[in-house]
Amino acid sequence: MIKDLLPSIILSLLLAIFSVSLCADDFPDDAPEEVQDLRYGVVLYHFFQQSYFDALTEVMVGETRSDMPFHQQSAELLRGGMSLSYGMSDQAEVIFSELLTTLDHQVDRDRAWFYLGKLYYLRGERDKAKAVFARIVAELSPALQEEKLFLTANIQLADGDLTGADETVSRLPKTSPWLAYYYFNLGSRKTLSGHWREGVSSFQKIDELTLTSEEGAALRDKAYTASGFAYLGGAEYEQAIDDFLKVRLESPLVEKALLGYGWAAAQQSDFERALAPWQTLSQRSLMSASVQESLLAIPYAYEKLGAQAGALLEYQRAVAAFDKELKNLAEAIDVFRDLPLVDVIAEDIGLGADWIMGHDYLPINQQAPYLSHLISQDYFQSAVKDLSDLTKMRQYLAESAIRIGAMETVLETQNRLWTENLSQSQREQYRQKYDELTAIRNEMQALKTADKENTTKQVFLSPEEVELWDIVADAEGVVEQLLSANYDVSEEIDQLHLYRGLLMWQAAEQDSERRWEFDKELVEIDESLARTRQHLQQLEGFSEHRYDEQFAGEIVGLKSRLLTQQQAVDTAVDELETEIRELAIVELENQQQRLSYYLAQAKLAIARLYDLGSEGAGQ
Amino acid sequence: MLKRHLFRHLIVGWMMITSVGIVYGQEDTVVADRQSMNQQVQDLKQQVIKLNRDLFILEEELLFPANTQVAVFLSMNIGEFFQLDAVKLKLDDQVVTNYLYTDKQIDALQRGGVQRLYLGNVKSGAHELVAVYTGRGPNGRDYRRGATLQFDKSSQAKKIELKIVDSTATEQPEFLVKEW
Repeated sequence: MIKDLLPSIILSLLLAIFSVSLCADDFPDDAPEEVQDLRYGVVLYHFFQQSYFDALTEVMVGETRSDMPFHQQSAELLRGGMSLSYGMSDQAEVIFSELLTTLDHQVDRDRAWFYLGKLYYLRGERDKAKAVFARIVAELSPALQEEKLFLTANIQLADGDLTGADETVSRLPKTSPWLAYYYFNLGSRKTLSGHWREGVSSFQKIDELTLTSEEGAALRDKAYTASGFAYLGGAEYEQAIDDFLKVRLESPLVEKALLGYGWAAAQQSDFERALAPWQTLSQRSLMSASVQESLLAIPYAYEKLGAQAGALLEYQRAVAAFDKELKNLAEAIDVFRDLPLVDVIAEDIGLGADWIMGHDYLPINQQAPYLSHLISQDYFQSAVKDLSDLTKMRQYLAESAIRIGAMETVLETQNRLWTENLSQSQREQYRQKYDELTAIRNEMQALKTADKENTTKQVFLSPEEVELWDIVADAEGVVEQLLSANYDVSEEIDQLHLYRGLLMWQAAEQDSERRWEFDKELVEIDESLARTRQHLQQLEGFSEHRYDEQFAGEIVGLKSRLLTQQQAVDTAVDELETEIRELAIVELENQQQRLSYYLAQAKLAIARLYDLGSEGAGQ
Repeated sequence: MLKRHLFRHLIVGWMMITSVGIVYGQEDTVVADRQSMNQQVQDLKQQVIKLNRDLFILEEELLFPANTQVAVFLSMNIGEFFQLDAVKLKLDDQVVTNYLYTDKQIDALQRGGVQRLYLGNVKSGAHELVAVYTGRGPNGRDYRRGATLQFDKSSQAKKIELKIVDSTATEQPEFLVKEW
């Protein structure tokens, strides 16, 4: 009979192990390369923190803006990987399939093949996964290569090709973290197919590996438990007890191990020895099926030891405990009917963003241990993670509503400012001032050019001096005419020469200072021009970004999408809550059914013991 | 009698199998429903990401247009000689960011990630950016260093990268600034 029990126990352990077997880090810790596109660096920054929502958004912004020219293909590959990690396998499949037609380098194509194969593996599409893995030509990075070998070996195990699986795994390094998972899977497969001794041998290989992490220790506990039950099924009871005793007290499997230990002793008719683990077990929480079962096992052992009175007391104790526990279960069902799951999940910080590498989620409430079997199911985990992600989506959408509101405010403010302060006439004033300054500057520049071509130092004269120079020129003209008419103007000519000399001396005397003044003025004009140009540019720039129909239209579009998505998310959250609630309640009702059966058995045993007592008294 | 009792006990065990079996019997329907719901959730996630992308782009165009935009990024090369704790950023003598790092963020930087430390607006013309880094330097000593950049803002978006680099020659950290 114990042999019949074995598959269910191994199977329940297997369910846990397959979810754990996907927890290794996919991404190697090679020395980082310097990024050539800043945006790609930002994508990596979010990605390495497992902020997939932000990282995926950033990649998509980069694609829209085409500002990741150097890392375009790596970014797309990363997007596929992140989509997979973020629970969007359909999207990931599309990305990888498209990438495989466009990637330039074999190494990148092989990475895409790997992720696509892993995606199919996770979906249980083994043939597709196998075909895709077979297309990988070059060696992957060590971490991916090891994972590929492990996944391939698992597929071979599932297909019954144990030789092939062994051959595949032989290529893993001795220190690979995947080896332990493989040996466990192999041991489970062999035990379930009736080759329990080979199964045990496989479980024992885990003990020979160096597993220092908590995850490794937990795996070892699972292996000892599975191996113990395999020995139990093979009627090698002392070996079974040895393995059960190796399970750590803090392990979640210790209750199964204690129960098995008791069975192994009982099978050898050593009921006193069986009582020790069962009594230890019976002190633990009754939420565990193993503890419930120990309450029936203890009086059974007492009966075997001939302690009928003790057995009767223990059965009565079991009846009281089962009664109480049935009430607790009824309360738990009520709790789950009304439990605000969204709030519970939102408060949980243990549920990571990663669908592949994350840990199992345990709903936080005191009834959680009742659901340990359900929690180990992939579909339950998937539902909880969906709900958790949707809760976060709801939060993102609420934040988006605030951001859209802020943009509306900015647009309105810009529009108001534009209307109030930046009228067309003001811009015209600035433009006019700019034109005037430009004209002055051109005039001054012309003067400077003229100065270079003229050595008379008469370029920078004051208007008064120009007037005096004009008078001299007029007078010289008159003198010329008088000379032509044979007048004696020698005295006037001398006076004019003297006057001209005086004017030239004055011009030369002040020339340096005037040039300095002129240059200074030119610099000031240039500065003034630059300032005016900047004002004008700002005004025109502002004009370009002022409230316009295009922005307003885009915001209206975003608001409409936001509203639709908020409604869709709310509906999906309601549906998911119902789904999870129903799964939990069905699980609890199954336990009620089992516990009612235990209760009936205990009551029957009590009646039987009373009968025996009556018969004994009669005799 | 004893055998009957043992049998009864093992029946209890059988119930365990049956209870597992019950759940398994329901699994096909449960899994099919789950897949349908999961696909719906996948679509929703994709839609929300697209909305966030469009919102991000519109925000940048409206709130940080290229002619006034200045973006400051921070990257780190290995970080063996300097354990970054915080960065203070001053733009034209005004503190615009005071950022304290978590271990997770430092890890992301050390693995090649680049943080968008600041996104803001400035007028065209000359500006000064000062970054003050605090953390632990070689031998675990308290370490505080600054880096300054004078830059001109044109009509193009300004992107500045603050780089913390290990100098193996001096066994000291170097704080570089790169204009993109």
